[in-house]
Amino acid sequence: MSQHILRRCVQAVPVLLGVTLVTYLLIFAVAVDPARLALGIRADAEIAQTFRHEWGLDRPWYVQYGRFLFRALQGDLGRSLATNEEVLPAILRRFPATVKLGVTALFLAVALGVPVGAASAVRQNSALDHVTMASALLGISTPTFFLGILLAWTFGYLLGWTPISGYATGAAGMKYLLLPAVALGLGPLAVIARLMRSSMLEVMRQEYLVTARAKGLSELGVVMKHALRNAVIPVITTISGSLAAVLSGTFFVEYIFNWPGIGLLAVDAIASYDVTMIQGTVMFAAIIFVLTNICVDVIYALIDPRISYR
Amino acid sequence: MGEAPGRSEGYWAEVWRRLRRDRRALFGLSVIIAIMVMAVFAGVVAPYDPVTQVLEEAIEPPSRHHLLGTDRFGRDLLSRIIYGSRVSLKVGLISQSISIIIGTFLGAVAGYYRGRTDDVVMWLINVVWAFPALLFVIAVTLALGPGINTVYVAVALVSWVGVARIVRGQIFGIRELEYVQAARALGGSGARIIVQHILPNVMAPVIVVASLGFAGAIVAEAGLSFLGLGIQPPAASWGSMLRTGYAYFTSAWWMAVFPGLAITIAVLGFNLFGDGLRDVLDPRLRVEW
Repeated sequence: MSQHILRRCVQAVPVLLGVTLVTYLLIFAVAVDPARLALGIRADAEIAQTFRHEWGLDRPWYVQYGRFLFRALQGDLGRSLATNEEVLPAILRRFPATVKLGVTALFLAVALGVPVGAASAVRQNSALDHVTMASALLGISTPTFFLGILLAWTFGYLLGWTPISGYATGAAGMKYLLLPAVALGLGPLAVIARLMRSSMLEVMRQEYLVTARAKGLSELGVVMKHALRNAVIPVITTISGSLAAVLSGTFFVEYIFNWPGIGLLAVDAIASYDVTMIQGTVMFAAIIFVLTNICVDVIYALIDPRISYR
Repeated sequence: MGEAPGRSEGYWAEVWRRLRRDRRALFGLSVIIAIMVMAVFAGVVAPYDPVTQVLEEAIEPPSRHHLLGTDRFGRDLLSRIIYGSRVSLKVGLISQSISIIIGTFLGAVAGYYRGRTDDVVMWLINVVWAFPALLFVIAVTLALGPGINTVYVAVALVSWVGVARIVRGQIFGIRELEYVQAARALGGSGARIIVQHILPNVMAPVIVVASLGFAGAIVAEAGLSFLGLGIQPPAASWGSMLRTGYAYFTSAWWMAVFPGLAITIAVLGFNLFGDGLRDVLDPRLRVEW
Protein backbone atom coordinates (compact mmCIF):
# COMPACT_ATOMS: atom_id res chain seq x y z
CA MET A 1 0.00 0.00 0.00
CA SER A 2 2.66 2.49 1.00
CA GLN A 3 4.64 1.29 -1.98
CA HIS A 4 1.74 2.31 -4.17
CA ILE A 5 1.60 5.76 -2.59
CA LEU A 6 5.33 6.19 -2.99
CA ARG A 7 5.14 5.11 -6.60
CA ARG A 8 2.39 7.61 -7.34
CA CYS A 9 4.36 10.41 -5.69
CA VAL A 10 7.48 9.58 -7.66
CA GLN A 11 5.49 9.45 -10.90
CA ALA A 12 4.09 12.87 -10.13
CA VAL A 13 7.48 14.59 -9.99
CA PRO A 14 8.22 14.71 -13.76
CA VAL A 15 4.62 15.74 -14.34
CA LEU A 16 4.89 18.58 -11.82
CA LEU A 17 8.14 19.69 -13.42
CA GLY A 18 6.43 19.56 -16.77
CA VAL A 19 3.61 21.71 -15.43
CA THR A 20 6.02 24.39 -14.24
CA LEU A 21 7.92 24.21 -17.54
CA VAL A 22 4.81 24.52 -19.69
CA THR A 23 3.45 27.39 -17.62
CA TYR A 24 6.78 29.16 -17.73
CA LEU A 25 7.19 28.70 -21.49
CA LEU A 26 3.68 29.86 -22.23
CA ILE A 27 4.05 33.00 -20.17
CA PHE A 28 7.62 33.47 -21.42
CA ALA A 29 6.28 33.43 -24.94
CA VAL A 30 4.04 36.35 -24.16
CA ALA A 31 5.04 39.35 -26.20
CA VAL A 32 5.58 41.44 -23.13
CA ASP A 33 9.00 42.86 -22.49
CA PRO A 34 9.52 43.06 -18.73
CA ALA A 35 12.10 45.80 -19.23
CA ARG A 36 9.61 47.98 -21.05
CA LEU A 37 6.97 47.11 -18.49
CA ALA A 38 9.18 48.19 -15.63
CA LEU A 39 10.84 51.20 -17.25
CA GLY A 40 8.02 52.44 -19.40
CA ILE A 41 7.34 52.05 -23.08
CA ARG A 42 9.52 54.99 -24.12
CA ALA A 43 12.57 53.89 -22.16
CA ASP A 44 15.90 54.30 -23.84
CA ALA A 45 16.99 51.13 -25.67
CA GLU A 46 20.37 51.10 -23.96
CA ILE A 47 18.87 51.49 -20.50
CA ALA A 48 16.40 48.73 -21.27
CA GLN A 49 19.27 46.47 -22.30
CA THR A 50 21.16 47.25 -19.09
CA PHE A 51 18.01 46.46 -17.12
CA ARG A 52 17.66 43.14 -18.94
CA HIS A 53 21.28 42.27 -18.26
CA GLU A 54 21.02 43.17 -14.57
CA TRP A 55 17.93 41.01 -14.11
CA GLY A 56 19.29 38.17 -16.21
CA LEU A 57 16.57 38.66 -18.78
CA ASP A 58 19.00 38.34 -21.65
CA ARG A 59 20.05 34.83 -20.60
CA PRO A 60 18.72 31.81 -22.54
CA TRP A 61 15.21 30.66 -21.64
CA TYR A 62 16.36 27.50 -19.92
CA VAL A 63 18.64 29.48 -17.63
CA GLN A 64 15.78 31.81 -16.76
CA TYR A 65 13.50 28.82 -16.24
CA GLY A 66 16.06 27.24 -13.92
CA ARG A 67 16.22 30.40 -11.84
CA PHE A 68 12.43 30.67 -11.85
CA LEU A 69 12.13 27.07 -10.65
CA PHE A 70 14.77 27.59 -7.99
CA ARG A 71 12.95 30.61 -6.66
CA ALA A 72 9.56 28.88 -6.95
CA LEU A 73 10.74 25.98 -4.83
CA GLN A 74 11.56 28.51 -2.13
CA GLY A 75 8.09 29.95 -2.39
CA ASP A 76 8.97 33.00 -4.45
CA LEU A 77 6.65 33.31 -7.43
CA GLY A 78 7.53 36.91 -8.14
CA ARG A 79 5.49 40.04 -7.69
CA SER A 80 2.21 41.09 -9.22
CA LEU A 81 2.76 43.46 -12.11
CA ALA A 82 -0.44 45.27 -11.22
CA THR A 83 -0.29 45.61 -7.45
CA ASN A 84 3.36 44.76 -6.69
CA GLU A 85 2.25 42.39 -3.92
CA GLU A 86 4.02 39.04 -3.71
CA VAL A 87 2.21 36.46 -5.81
CA LEU A 88 2.30 33.38 -3.58
CA PRO A 89 1.06 35.06 -0.38
CA ALA A 90 -1.71 36.73 -2.40
CA ILE A 91 -2.77 33.35 -3.76
CA LEU A 92 -2.57 31.66 -0.37
CA ARG A 93 -4.73 34.38 1.18
CA ARG A 94 -7.50 33.74 -1.34
CA PHE A 95 -7.12 29.99 -1.54
CA PRO A 96 -9.24 29.08 1.52
CA ALA A 97 -12.29 30.77 -0.01
CA THR A 98 -11.86 28.69 -3.17
CA VAL A 99 -11.42 25.52 -1.14
CA LYS A 100 -14.60 26.29 0.80
CA LEU A 101 -16.52 26.80 -2.42
CA GLY A 102 -15.00 23.83 -4.23
CA VAL A 103 -15.44 21.39 -1.38
CA THR A 104 -19.07 22.44 -0.87
CA ALA A 105 -19.75 22.06 -4.58
CA LEU A 106 -18.16 18.61 -4.72
CA PHE A 107 -19.95 17.56 -1.57
CA LEU A 108 -23.28 18.61 -3.07
CA ALA A 109 -22.43 16.80 -6.28
CA VAL A 110 -21.62 13.52 -4.52
CA ALA A 111 -24.25 13.74 -1.77
CA LEU A 112 -27.03 14.33 -4.30
CA GLY A 113 -25.62 12.65 -7.38
CA VAL A 114 -25.04 9.22 -5.85
CA PRO A 115 -28.54 8.71 -4.38
CA VAL A 116 -30.24 10.24 -7.42
CA GLY A 117 -28.32 7.97 -9.78
CA ALA A 118 -28.94 4.94 -7.58
CA ALA A 119 -32.65 5.69 -7.30
CA SER A 120 -32.87 6.07 -11.08
CA ALA A 121 -31.25 2.69 -11.53
CA VAL A 122 -33.49 0.96 -9.02
CA ARG A 123 -36.55 2.51 -10.67
CA GLN A 124 -35.26 2.05 -14.19
CA ASN A 125 -37.50 3.40 -16.95
CA SER A 126 -39.91 4.96 -14.50
CA ALA A 127 -40.99 8.60 -14.66
CA LEU A 128 -38.41 9.42 -11.99
CA ASP A 129 -35.69 7.81 -14.09
CA HIS A 130 -36.62 9.69 -17.26
CA VAL A 131 -36.93 13.03 -15.51
CA THR A 132 -33.69 12.75 -13.57
CA MET A 133 -31.67 11.56 -16.52
CA ALA A 134 -33.08 14.27 -18.80
CA SER A 135 -32.18 16.82 -16.13
CA ALA A 136 -28.73 15.32 -15.83
CA LEU A 137 -28.18 15.63 -19.57
CA LEU A 138 -29.26 19.24 -19.39
CA GLY A 139 -26.97 19.78 -16.43
CA ILE A 140 -24.01 18.45 -18.35
CA SER A 141 -24.75 20.55 -21.40
CA THR A 142 -25.28 23.88 -19.65
CA PRO A 143 -22.03 25.80 -19.33
CA THR A 144 -21.13 26.72 -15.74
CA PHE A 145 -20.98 30.43 -16.48
CA PHE A 146 -24.49 30.42 -17.97
CA LEU A 147 -25.80 28.38 -15.07
CA GLY A 148 -24.29 30.86 -12.63
CA ILE A 149 -25.96 33.78 -14.37
CA LEU A 150 -29.32 31.96 -14.47
CA LEU A 151 -29.16 31.05 -10.80
CA ALA A 152 -28.10 34.55 -9.75
CA TRP A 153 -30.90 36.05 -11.83
CA THR A 154 -33.64 33.64 -10.74
CA PHE A 155 -32.93 33.11 -7.05
CA GLY A 156 -31.00 36.24 -6.29
CA TYR A 157 -32.65 38.93 -8.33
CA LEU A 158 -36.15 37.73 -9.26
CA LEU A 159 -37.06 35.78 -6.12
CA GLY A 160 -34.69 37.51 -3.71
CA TRP A 161 -34.09 34.30 -1.75
CA THR A 162 -30.31 34.68 -1.59
CA PRO A 163 -27.85 37.53 -2.12
CA ILE A 164 -26.51 37.81 -5.66
CA SER A 165 -22.91 38.20 -4.63
CA GLY A 166 -20.64 38.68 -1.66
CA TYR A 167 -18.83 36.78 1.00
CA ALA A 168 -18.88 36.37 4.77
CA THR A 169 -17.33 33.90 7.16
CA GLY A 170 -19.08 31.72 9.66
CA ALA A 171 -22.78 30.90 9.75
CA ALA A 172 -23.72 34.20 8.15
CA GLY A 173 -21.61 33.20 5.17
CA MET A 174 -23.79 30.22 4.30
CA LYS A 175 -26.30 32.29 2.38
CA TYR A 176 -23.53 33.65 0.16
CA LEU A 177 -22.09 30.17 -0.37
CA LEU A 178 -25.26 28.46 -1.54
CA LEU A 179 -25.77 29.78 -5.08
CA PRO A 180 -22.12 29.65 -6.20
CA ALA A 181 -21.76 26.14 -4.78
CA VAL A 182 -24.85 24.96 -6.64
CA ALA A 183 -23.67 26.62 -9.87
CA LEU A 184 -20.30 24.94 -9.54
CA GLY A 185 -21.58 21.57 -8.41
CA LEU A 186 -24.49 20.97 -10.79
CA GLY A 187 -22.31 19.86 -13.69
CA PRO A 188 -20.37 17.27 -11.65
CA LEU A 189 -23.66 16.25 -9.99
CA ALA A 190 -25.12 15.44 -13.38
CA VAL A 191 -22.07 13.42 -14.40
CA ILE A 192 -22.05 11.50 -11.12
CA ALA A 193 -25.78 10.78 -11.29
CA ARG A 194 -25.48 9.33 -14.80
CA LEU A 195 -22.44 7.27 -13.97
CA MET A 196 -23.96 6.01 -10.72
CA ARG A 197 -27.04 4.91 -12.60
CA SER A 198 -25.18 2.90 -15.21
CA SER A 199 -22.83 1.48 -12.59
CA MET A 200 -25.76 0.40 -10.40
CA LEU A 201 -27.53 -1.18 -13.36
CA GLU A 202 -24.45 -3.26 -14.07
CA VAL A 203 -23.91 -4.26 -10.45
CA MET A 204 -27.54 -5.17 -9.91
CA ARG A 205 -27.30 -7.76 -12.64
CA GLN A 206 -24.44 -9.52 -10.89
CA GLU A 207 -24.78 -13.04 -9.62
CA TYR A 208 -23.98 -12.37 -6.00
CA LEU A 209 -27.05 -10.18 -5.81
CA VAL A 210 -29.17 -12.97 -7.20
CA THR A 211 -27.80 -15.11 -4.37
CA ALA A 212 -28.55 -12.41 -1.80
CA ARG A 213 -32.12 -12.14 -3.00
CA ALA A 214 -32.49 -15.91 -3.04
CA LYS A 215 -31.31 -15.97 0.56
CA GLY A 216 -34.27 -13.79 1.42
CA LEU A 217 -32.68 -10.33 1.66
CA SER A 218 -35.17 -7.57 0.89
CA GLU A 219 -34.70 -5.43 -2.19
CA LEU A 220 -33.76 -2.47 -0.04
CA GLY A 221 -31.25 -4.63 1.77
CA VAL A 222 -29.78 -5.79 -1.51
CA VAL A 223 -29.44 -2.23 -2.71
CA MET A 224 -28.04 -0.76 0.47
CA LYS A 225 -25.79 -3.57 1.61
CA HIS A 226 -24.32 -4.83 -1.63
CA ALA A 227 -25.15 -2.91 -4.77
CA LEU A 228 -24.46 0.62 -3.60
CA ARG A 229 -21.04 -0.09 -2.21
CA ASN A 230 -19.79 -1.73 -5.37
CA ALA A 231 -21.50 0.65 -7.74
CA VAL A 232 -19.89 3.64 -6.11
CA ILE A 233 -16.33 2.52 -6.93
CA PRO A 234 -16.27 3.66 -10.57
CA VAL A 235 -17.81 6.95 -9.49
CA ILE A 236 -14.71 7.67 -7.42
CA THR A 237 -12.62 7.57 -10.57
CA THR A 238 -14.65 10.46 -11.96
CA ILE A 239 -13.90 12.60 -8.92
CA SER A 240 -10.73 13.64 -10.70
CA GLY A 241 -12.75 14.86 -13.67
CA SER A 242 -15.20 16.57 -11.34
CA LEU A 243 -12.30 18.23 -9.59
CA ALA A 244 -10.99 19.56 -12.90
CA ALA A 245 -14.45 20.86 -13.72
CA VAL A 246 -14.64 22.54 -10.32
CA LEU A 247 -11.19 24.14 -10.66
CA SER A 248 -12.04 25.46 -14.10
CA GLY A 249 -15.56 26.46 -13.18
CA THR A 250 -14.35 28.34 -10.16
CA PHE A 251 -12.97 31.04 -12.47
CA PHE A 252 -16.43 31.80 -13.80
CA VAL A 253 -18.43 31.26 -10.65
CA GLU A 254 -16.16 33.42 -8.49
CA TYR A 255 -16.30 36.12 -11.13
CA ILE A 256 -20.10 36.03 -11.40
CA PHE A 257 -20.74 35.89 -7.66
CA ASN A 258 -17.81 38.09 -6.65
CA TRP A 259 -16.44 35.30 -4.47
CA PRO A 260 -12.93 36.26 -3.27
CA GLY A 261 -11.04 33.14 -4.25
CA ILE A 262 -8.14 32.43 -6.60
CA GLY A 263 -10.52 32.24 -9.57
CA LEU A 264 -11.54 35.87 -9.15
CA LEU A 265 -7.90 36.75 -8.53
CA ALA A 266 -6.98 35.16 -11.85
CA VAL A 267 -9.82 36.80 -13.78
CA ASP A 268 -8.83 40.22 -12.42
CA ALA A 269 -5.22 39.46 -13.32
CA ILE A 270 -6.28 38.53 -16.85
CA ALA A 271 -8.16 41.80 -17.21
CA SER A 272 -5.09 43.81 -16.18
CA TYR A 273 -2.65 41.55 -18.09
CA ASP A 274 -0.83 40.85 -14.84
CA VAL A 275 1.37 38.14 -16.28
CA THR A 276 3.18 37.05 -13.12
CA MET A 277 -0.06 36.70 -11.19
CA ILE A 278 -1.68 34.67 -13.96
CA GLN A 279 1.38 32.46 -14.22
CA GLY A 280 1.36 31.94 -10.46
CA THR A 281 -2.35 31.15 -10.28
CA VAL A 282 -2.36 28.75 -13.21
CA MET A 283 0.66 26.88 -11.90
CA PHE A 284 -0.70 26.79 -8.36
CA ALA A 285 -4.05 25.42 -9.53
CA ALA A 286 -2.38 22.78 -11.69
CA ILE A 287 -0.11 21.65 -8.86
CA ILE A 288 -3.03 21.43 -6.44
CA PHE A 289 -4.86 19.39 -9.07
CA VAL A 290 -1.97 16.93 -9.42
CA LEU A 291 -1.58 16.56 -5.67
CA THR A 292 -5.31 16.10 -5.10
CA ASN A 293 -5.40 13.45 -7.82
CA ILE A 294 -2.71 11.54 -5.97
CA CYS A 295 -4.89 11.63 -2.87
CA VAL A 296 -7.90 10.43 -4.86
CA ASP A 297 -5.80 7.60 -6.31
CA VAL A 298 -4.72 6.57 -2.84
CA ILE A 299 -8.29 6.60 -1.54
CA TYR A 300 -9.36 4.57 -4.54
CA ALA A 301 -6.61 2.04 -3.83
CA LEU A 302 -7.71 1.85 -0.20
CA ILE A 303 -11.29 1.13 -1.21
CA ASP A 304 -10.44 -1.29 -3.99
CA PRO A 305 -7.35 -3.25 -2.92
CA ARG A 306 -6.97 -4.79 -6.35
CA ILE A 307 -5.63 -1.49 -7.64
CA SER A 308 -2.42 -1.41 -5.63
CA TYR A 309 -1.34 -4.80 -6.86
CA ARG A 310 -1.28 -3.73 -10.52
CA MET B 1 -0.50 -6.98 -48.29
CA GLY B 2 -4.16 -7.57 -47.64
CA GLU B 3 -6.83 -5.11 -46.57
CA ALA B 4 -7.40 -4.53 -42.89
CA PRO B 5 -10.53 -6.42 -41.88
CA GLY B 6 -13.85 -4.84 -41.02
CA ARG B 7 -14.27 -1.29 -42.26
CA SER B 8 -16.19 -1.81 -45.50
CA GLU B 9 -19.16 0.01 -46.98
CA GLY B 10 -21.50 -2.31 -45.13
CA TYR B 11 -19.99 -1.33 -41.79
CA TRP B 12 -20.94 2.34 -42.02
CA ALA B 13 -24.36 1.47 -43.42
CA GLU B 14 -24.89 -0.73 -40.38
CA VAL B 15 -23.70 2.10 -38.11
CA TRP B 16 -26.21 4.45 -39.69
CA ARG B 17 -28.99 1.89 -39.40
CA ARG B 18 -28.37 1.44 -35.68
CA LEU B 19 -28.00 5.15 -35.12
CA ARG B 20 -31.37 5.75 -36.75
CA ARG B 21 -33.01 3.71 -34.02
CA ASP B 22 -31.57 5.89 -31.26
CA ARG B 23 -34.04 8.73 -30.85
CA ARG B 24 -31.77 10.80 -28.66
CA ALA B 25 -28.91 10.57 -31.16
CA LEU B 26 -31.25 11.52 -33.99
CA PHE B 27 -32.44 14.51 -32.03
CA GLY B 28 -28.81 15.51 -31.47
CA LEU B 29 -28.10 15.09 -35.16
CA SER B 30 -31.06 17.25 -36.13
CA VAL B 31 -29.83 19.98 -33.78
CA ILE B 32 -26.39 19.80 -35.39
CA ILE B 33 -27.87 19.95 -38.89
CA ALA B 34 -30.08 22.88 -37.89
CA ILE B 35 -27.05 24.78 -36.60
CA MET B 36 -25.11 24.02 -39.77
CA VAL B 37 -27.96 25.23 -41.96
CA MET B 38 -28.25 28.34 -39.83
CA ALA B 39 -24.54 29.00 -40.15
CA VAL B 40 -24.26 28.39 -43.88
CA PHE B 41 -27.42 30.30 -44.79
CA ALA B 42 -27.09 33.00 -42.14
CA GLY B 43 -27.36 35.71 -44.76
CA VAL B 44 -30.75 34.35 -45.81
CA VAL B 45 -32.10 33.18 -42.46
CA ALA B 46 -31.17 36.18 -40.31
CA PRO B 47 -33.79 38.95 -40.40
CA TYR B 48 -31.28 41.76 -39.83
CA ASP B 49 -27.61 42.57 -40.25
CA PRO B 50 -25.72 41.46 -37.13
CA VAL B 51 -23.41 44.44 -36.74
CA THR B 52 -25.44 47.44 -37.87
CA GLN B 53 -26.26 49.57 -34.86
CA VAL B 54 -29.73 51.09 -34.49
CA LEU B 55 -29.39 53.03 -31.30
CA GLU B 56 -33.08 54.08 -31.19
CA GLU B 57 -33.96 50.43 -30.75
CA ALA B 58 -31.38 49.66 -28.06
CA ILE B 59 -32.19 47.21 -25.26
CA GLU B 60 -35.65 46.29 -26.42
CA PRO B 61 -37.34 43.19 -25.03
CA PRO B 62 -38.51 40.40 -27.37
CA SER B 63 -41.22 41.66 -29.69
CA ARG B 64 -42.73 40.99 -33.09
CA HIS B 65 -40.01 43.04 -34.79
CA HIS B 66 -37.16 41.54 -32.83
CA LEU B 67 -38.09 38.02 -31.77
CA LEU B 68 -35.31 37.75 -29.23
CA GLY B 69 -34.94 41.43 -28.44
CA THR B 70 -32.06 43.79 -29.12
CA ASP B 71 -28.77 44.54 -27.42
CA ARG B 72 -27.33 47.82 -26.15
CA PHE B 73 -26.51 48.97 -29.68
CA GLY B 74 -29.93 48.10 -31.06
CA ARG B 75 -28.59 45.05 -32.91
CA ASP B 76 -31.09 42.23 -33.41
CA LEU B 77 -30.24 39.40 -31.02
CA LEU B 78 -31.70 36.66 -33.20
CA SER B 79 -29.53 37.70 -36.15
CA ARG B 80 -26.45 37.88 -33.98
CA ILE B 81 -27.15 34.43 -32.58
CA ILE B 82 -27.58 33.05 -36.10
CA TYR B 83 -24.31 34.56 -37.26
CA GLY B 84 -22.70 33.49 -34.00
CA SER B 85 -23.33 29.87 -34.94
CA ARG B 86 -20.65 30.31 -37.62
CA VAL B 87 -18.07 31.09 -34.99
CA SER B 88 -19.05 28.11 -32.87
CA LEU B 89 -19.01 25.71 -35.80
CA LYS B 90 -15.69 27.04 -37.09
CA VAL B 91 -14.09 26.70 -33.67
CA GLY B 92 -15.40 23.16 -33.31
CA LEU B 93 -14.38 22.03 -36.80
CA ILE B 94 -10.95 23.61 -36.93
CA SER B 95 -9.91 22.86 -33.37
CA GLN B 96 -11.06 19.24 -33.56
CA SER B 97 -9.38 18.75 -36.95
CA ILE B 98 -6.07 20.00 -35.56
CA SER B 99 -6.61 17.93 -32.45
CA ILE B 100 -7.28 14.76 -34.49
CA ILE B 101 -4.12 15.28 -36.54
CA ILE B 102 -1.86 15.91 -33.55
CA GLY B 103 -3.51 13.31 -31.34
CA THR B 104 -3.58 10.56 -33.96
CA PHE B 105 0.05 11.14 -34.93
CA LEU B 106 1.38 11.20 -31.37
CA GLY B 107 -0.87 8.40 -30.18
CA ALA B 108 0.10 6.26 -33.15
CA VAL B 109 3.85 6.64 -32.74
CA ALA B 110 3.60 6.14 -29.00
CA GLY B 111 1.50 3.02 -29.35
CA TYR B 112 3.45 1.53 -32.22
CA TYR B 113 7.06 2.24 -31.33
CA ARG B 114 6.61 2.08 -27.54
CA GLY B 115 9.76 2.43 -25.42
CA ARG B 116 11.23 5.91 -25.09
CA THR B 117 8.84 7.41 -27.64
CA ASP B 118 5.90 6.18 -25.62
CA ASP B 119 7.48 7.50 -22.41
CA VAL B 120 7.87 10.98 -23.86
CA VAL B 121 4.38 11.09 -25.34
CA MET B 122 2.82 9.78 -22.11
CA TRP B 123 4.71 12.43 -20.14
CA LEU B 124 3.37 15.10 -22.48
CA ILE B 125 -0.14 13.70 -22.15
CA ASN B 126 0.09 13.64 -18.36
CA VAL B 127 1.42 17.19 -18.20
CA VAL B 128 -1.39 18.57 -20.37
CA TRP B 129 -3.89 16.40 -18.48
CA ALA B 130 -2.61 17.91 -15.24
CA PHE B 131 -3.99 21.29 -16.20
CA PRO B 132 -7.70 21.83 -15.74
CA ALA B 133 -8.64 22.47 -19.35
CA LEU B 134 -9.70 26.06 -19.01
CA LEU B 135 -6.51 27.11 -17.26
CA PHE B 136 -4.43 25.66 -20.05
CA VAL B 137 -6.57 27.33 -22.66
CA ILE B 138 -6.23 30.65 -20.83
CA ALA B 139 -2.46 30.29 -20.57
CA VAL B 140 -2.16 29.51 -24.29
CA THR B 141 -4.45 32.41 -25.15
CA LEU B 142 -2.30 34.78 -23.14
CA ALA B 143 0.81 33.51 -24.88
CA LEU B 144 -0.63 33.90 -28.36
CA GLY B 145 -2.87 36.90 -27.81
CA PRO B 146 -6.69 36.94 -27.85
CA GLY B 147 -8.55 36.30 -31.07
CA ILE B 148 -10.19 33.53 -33.01
CA ASN B 149 -7.02 31.88 -34.37
CA THR B 150 -5.71 31.57 -30.85
CA VAL B 151 -8.96 29.93 -29.79
CA TYR B 152 -8.56 27.26 -32.50
CA VAL B 153 -5.02 26.46 -31.38
CA ALA B 154 -5.70 26.67 -27.66
CA VAL B 155 -8.67 24.31 -27.78
CA ALA B 156 -6.82 21.89 -30.07
CA LEU B 157 -3.86 21.81 -27.69
CA VAL B 158 -6.15 20.55 -24.94
CA SER B 159 -8.29 18.18 -27.03
CA TRP B 160 -5.48 16.25 -28.69
CA VAL B 161 -4.80 14.40 -25.45
CA GLY B 162 -8.13 12.56 -25.55
CA VAL B 163 -7.51 11.48 -29.14
CA ALA B 164 -3.92 10.42 -28.44
CA ARG B 165 -4.88 8.24 -25.50
CA ILE B 166 -7.56 6.43 -27.47
CA VAL B 167 -5.33 5.90 -30.51
CA ARG B 168 -2.45 4.71 -28.37
CA GLY B 169 -4.67 2.30 -26.49
CA GLN B 170 -6.20 0.94 -29.65
CA ILE B 171 -2.81 0.45 -31.25
CA PHE B 172 -1.55 -1.49 -28.26
CA GLY B 173 -4.23 -4.00 -28.99
CA ILE B 174 -3.97 -4.07 -32.76
CA ARG B 175 -0.19 -4.11 -32.98
CA GLU B 176 0.13 -7.74 -32.04
CA LEU B 177 -2.57 -8.97 -34.35
CA GLU B 178 -1.58 -11.35 -37.09
CA TYR B 179 -2.12 -9.16 -40.10
CA VAL B 180 0.08 -6.46 -38.63
CA GLN B 181 2.81 -8.94 -37.79
CA ALA B 182 2.52 -10.29 -41.30
CA ALA B 183 2.93 -6.80 -42.72
CA ARG B 184 6.01 -6.27 -40.58
CA ALA B 185 7.44 -9.60 -41.61
CA LEU B 186 6.94 -8.68 -45.23
CA GLY B 187 9.17 -5.68 -44.62
CA GLY B 188 6.67 -2.86 -44.39
CA SER B 189 7.99 0.31 -42.77
CA GLY B 190 6.49 1.43 -39.49
CA ALA B 191 4.86 4.47 -41.00
CA ARG B 192 3.26 2.53 -43.82
CA ILE B 193 1.92 -0.12 -41.50
CA ILE B 194 0.46 2.48 -39.21
CA VAL B 195 -1.23 4.39 -41.99
CA GLN B 196 -2.41 1.48 -44.12
CA HIS B 197 -3.40 -1.09 -41.57
CA ILE B 198 -3.76 0.33 -38.11
CA LEU B 199 -5.28 3.77 -38.48
CA PRO B 200 -8.41 2.70 -40.42
CA ASN B 201 -9.30 0.56 -37.44
CA VAL B 202 -8.87 3.20 -34.79
CA MET B 203 -10.76 5.98 -36.56
CA ALA B 204 -14.13 4.94 -35.15
CA PRO B 205 -13.36 5.80 -31.51
CA VAL B 206 -11.48 8.90 -32.69
CA ILE B 207 -14.64 10.12 -34.39
CA VAL B 208 -16.56 9.64 -31.16
CA VAL B 209 -13.97 11.59 -29.17
CA ALA B 210 -13.97 14.35 -31.78
CA SER B 211 -17.74 14.72 -31.83
CA LEU B 212 -17.83 14.97 -28.04
CA GLY B 213 -14.84 17.30 -28.29
CA PHE B 214 -16.88 19.51 -30.59
CA ALA B 215 -19.21 20.24 -27.70
CA GLY B 216 -16.24 20.98 -25.47
CA ALA B 217 -14.80 23.32 -28.09
CA ILE B 218 -18.02 25.33 -28.26
CA VAL B 219 -18.05 25.72 -24.48
CA ALA B 220 -14.34 26.58 -24.41
CA GLU B 221 -14.77 29.34 -27.00
CA ALA B 222 -17.79 30.66 -25.15
CA GLY B 223 -15.93 30.58 -21.87
CA LEU B 224 -12.89 32.36 -23.30
CA SER B 225 -15.05 35.01 -24.92
CA PHE B 226 -16.98 35.36 -21.67
CA LEU B 227 -13.71 36.22 -19.95
CA GLY B 228 -12.81 38.62 -22.73
CA LEU B 229 -10.05 36.47 -24.16
CA GLY B 230 -11.74 35.01 -27.20
CA ILE B 231 -13.65 36.59 -30.02
CA GLN B 232 -13.38 40.35 -29.90
CA PRO B 233 -16.30 42.72 -30.54
CA PRO B 234 -18.11 43.65 -32.75
CA ALA B 235 -17.97 40.09 -34.10
CA ALA B 236 -20.97 38.07 -32.94
CA SER B 237 -20.03 35.08 -30.84
CA TRP B 238 -22.32 33.43 -28.35
CA GLY B 239 -19.74 33.76 -25.59
CA SER B 240 -19.03 37.45 -26.10
CA MET B 241 -22.78 38.10 -26.31
CA LEU B 242 -23.16 36.33 -22.98
CA ARG B 243 -20.37 38.49 -21.58
CA THR B 244 -22.16 41.69 -22.54
CA GLY B 245 -25.52 40.27 -21.53
CA TYR B 246 -24.22 39.43 -18.08
CA ALA B 247 -23.58 43.10 -17.38
CA TYR B 248 -27.26 43.79 -18.15
CA PHE B 249 -28.93 40.74 -16.73
CA THR B 250 -30.94 42.55 -14.08
CA SER B 251 -32.40 45.02 -16.58
CA ALA B 252 -32.38 43.11 -19.88
CA TRP B 253 -32.52 39.37 -19.19
CA TRP B 254 -32.85 38.44 -22.87
CA MET B 255 -29.36 39.67 -23.65
CA ALA B 256 -27.86 36.90 -21.54
CA VAL B 257 -30.50 34.18 -21.63
CA PHE B 258 -30.79 33.67 -25.39
CA PRO B 259 -27.07 33.41 -26.19
CA GLY B 260 -26.73 31.08 -23.19
CA LEU B 261 -29.57 28.92 -24.47
CA ALA B 262 -27.96 28.80 -27.90
CA ILE B 263 -24.74 27.46 -26.37
CA THR B 264 -26.63 24.95 -24.21
CA ILE B 265 -28.73 23.61 -27.09
CA ALA B 266 -25.70 23.28 -29.36
CA VAL B 267 -23.74 21.43 -26.69
CA LEU B 268 -26.73 19.22 -25.96
CA GLY B 269 -27.00 18.31 -29.63
CA PHE B 270 -23.34 17.33 -29.96
CA ASN B 271 -23.39 15.46 -26.65
CA LEU B 272 -26.48 13.45 -27.64
CA PHE B 273 -25.11 12.61 -31.06
CA GLY B 274 -21.66 11.79 -29.69
CA ASP B 275 -23.19 9.54 -27.03
CA GLY B 276 -25.30 7.73 -29.61
CA LEU B 277 -22.34 7.32 -31.93
CA ARG B 278 -20.23 5.91 -29.13
CA ASP B 279 -22.93 3.41 -28.16
CA VAL B 280 -23.15 2.21 -31.72
CA LEU B 281 -19.47 2.20 -32.65
CA ASP B 282 -17.85 0.94 -29.52
CA PRO B 283 -19.91 0.38 -26.38
CA ARG B 284 -16.71 -0.47 -24.51
CA LEU B 285 -15.93 3.24 -24.60
CA ARG B 286 -19.04 3.92 -22.62
CA VAL B 287 -18.30 5.42 -19.23
CA GLU B 288 -21.79 6.55 -18.41
CA TRP B 289 -25.28 6.09 -19.76
